[in-house]
Amino acid sequence: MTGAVERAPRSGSPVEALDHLFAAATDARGTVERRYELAGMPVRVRFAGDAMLERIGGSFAHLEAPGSKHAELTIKVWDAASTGTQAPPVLGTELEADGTGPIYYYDVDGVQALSRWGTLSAYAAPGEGWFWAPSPDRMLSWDWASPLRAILHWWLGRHDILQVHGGAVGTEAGGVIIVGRGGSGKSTTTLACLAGGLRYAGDDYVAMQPRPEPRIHSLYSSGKLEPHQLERFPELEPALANPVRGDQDKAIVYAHARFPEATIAGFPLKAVLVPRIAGGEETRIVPTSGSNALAALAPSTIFQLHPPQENALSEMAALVRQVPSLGLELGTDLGRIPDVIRSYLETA
Amino acid sequence: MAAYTTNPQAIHETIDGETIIIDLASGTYYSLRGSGSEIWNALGSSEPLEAVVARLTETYDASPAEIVAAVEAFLGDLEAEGLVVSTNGTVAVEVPETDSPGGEPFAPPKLEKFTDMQDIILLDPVHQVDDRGWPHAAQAEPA
Repeated sequence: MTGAVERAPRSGSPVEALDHLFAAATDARGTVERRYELAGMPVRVRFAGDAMLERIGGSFAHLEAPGSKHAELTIKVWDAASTGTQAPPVLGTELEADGTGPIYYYDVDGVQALSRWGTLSAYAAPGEGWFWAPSPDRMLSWDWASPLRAILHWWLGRHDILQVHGGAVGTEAGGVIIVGRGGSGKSTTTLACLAGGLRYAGDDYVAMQPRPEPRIHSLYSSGKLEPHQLERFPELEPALANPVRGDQDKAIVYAHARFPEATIAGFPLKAVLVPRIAGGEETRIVPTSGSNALAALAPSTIFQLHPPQENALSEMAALVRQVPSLGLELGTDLGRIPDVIRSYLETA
Repeated sequence: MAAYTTNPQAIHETIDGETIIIDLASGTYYSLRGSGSEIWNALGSSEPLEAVVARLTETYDASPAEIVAAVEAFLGDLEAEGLVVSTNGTVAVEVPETDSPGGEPFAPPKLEKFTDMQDIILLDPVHQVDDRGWPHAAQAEPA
């Protein structure tokens, strides 16, 4: 049996049931393993068959590290449809519904689990995770485009690294995190930089390490586009992961598939950028307050993660205090955006 | 004046003189500037309210009565939002009139409220979800 337990689960713990289901799934479909380096740490993902690898593997393709042996985190990933296994038990208590379906959260004896959007994420400290979906085809686009997000949030938190809501672009020498509410121009900025030759660490979620020096780590090579953005960046069309999609689904691109030289595992953080669509032709970088940057970064980060971390705000504030906070007044000439950011980084 | 303490569900940070408060329970966040930020941080540090009012009187060009009234109104706003909790006590705030008020123009403390997190929490339109059995716990899984 290939789904062997690496760490003896506590008798009666939910992880025992999850390991049992994963073992049944790998008995049916075999095991496919991928090794990655996330936030500088080795991670192993074991898939039951290749159905889920095909669904979520593209997001991590830029972080593959096939040579590593040791793993700080091992995640077991499977689905019911391709393996013929039954659904796992529902864990925990139902949280207040948010309109996207039921949410259950569980946190007992070092095991955390979140059932949301029809999939299950579970984590047992210090380094075991499980992710289950009923079927790769039934996953929601934001769940497969930014996969394993809850597990990575819990695991990274143990290493004092925060998963934050923002895009990040730059160079090996340093980069910026781009934060803002929907419609502020955050995605447009990161996509313009991807198409314009800057290195790309992510457009929606990245990991942020405040100490010893502020640093951004890439998590996903995926990017989400509204229909109008696809029209603005036709060069991204060959990177589409879902050329056929529902009316309300965003288009997903895998940056690494189209621009393998552009993705980057991380860089030192040089500034927090708060974009604003200014309307003029030219893009400009202007001063802004740290509180403005924190307000653009913190609330959406905190409320997209379960459970909200009480120290997340102070950690983000500590980071904002370490680097300049800048406004990015976006002009209509999208091709100039990466030049303006590149020029800033060359002098930062 | 009623006595208050900050609600632990309201996490907060102050940068560049502006305080960002996030209510973990409701998903609402708030901004305070100037005297509002000063009063909030005093509540969290257990600085006596009377000392805060005295300091504001020394800083701003307003009478003690005007400042006390503004502080009371502000505390009422904070309580209405659940950001502070009454300790069921009262504090005497008696600040003597001064002939030399502070020089800065006084802007009454103001609580700015942002509720756009609901849009972000929802992330994307609801679809493909309602027809799913799992993870509804009410439906028993097969043995």
